[in-house]
Amino acid sequence: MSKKIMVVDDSRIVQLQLQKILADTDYEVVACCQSGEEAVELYEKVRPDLVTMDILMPGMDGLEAARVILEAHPEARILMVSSLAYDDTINEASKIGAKGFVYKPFDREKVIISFQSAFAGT
Amino acid sequence: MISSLKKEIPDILDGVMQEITDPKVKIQRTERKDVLSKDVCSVQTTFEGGCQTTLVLLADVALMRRMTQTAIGEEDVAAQDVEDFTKEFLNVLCGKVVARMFQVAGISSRFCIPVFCTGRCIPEHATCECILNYTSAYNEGVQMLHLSS
Repeated sequence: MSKKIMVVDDSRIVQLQLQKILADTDYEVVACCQSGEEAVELYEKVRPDLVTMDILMPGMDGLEAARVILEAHPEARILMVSSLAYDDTINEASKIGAKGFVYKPFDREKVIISFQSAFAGT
Repeated sequence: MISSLKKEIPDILDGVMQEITDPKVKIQRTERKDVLSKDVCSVQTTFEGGCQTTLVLLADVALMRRMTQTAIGEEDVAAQDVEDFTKEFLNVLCGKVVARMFQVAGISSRFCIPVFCTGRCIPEHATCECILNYTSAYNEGVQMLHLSS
């Protein structure tokens, strides 16, 4: 059975790119939203197997949304998605319990490996 | 901004530009300054924290449309898609620039969500520190402006 994926990104282009990358894999994008606030609400309804969470978004950013979701659901699998690949951000994401990072621009193989690692680690 | 970093900025910007642009789009840096057509769009952001500066990307709409088509693998793209892609392109570029600045100078910065506009939009009262020009095989152009206030 496919794993349910929820994509959180304020860019529709990124949502489309991830959907295309995950087509014909064991992962199915079942929900998308464009802000941290929406992500917190949608998580409760969808209960996805994994969330990809952009960091820089209007309103509640991805790190804060991930923190809120993980406080309520410590078992949640969240992969942070960003081009902000430097120590401060990585440390912060690890501290709150994110399962890893997916870096932009996307490389299909690396995205899939990140997904596999997120599931293998639990 | 510390002066050593200021000197590095053009190389950092160019390196990131080359890194994140899909090779299929075929753009290269040029000494030409008249790279843009009349149909351009702009996207800009400001950096906060250790490096306070502004980046503006001016680009031919035709190029951004082609890059959008390449990115999502679809011929049929709407104006909103082009806007979203252009903002996302600067978003990715800035993320990489911030990471390089952290590596080069240990400076931690953040940037604001990119703002898009149709036409040529450059903040008033800003000083231009450098302009990088790029052109494509199809004679489409991009300019990246590094501004200080």
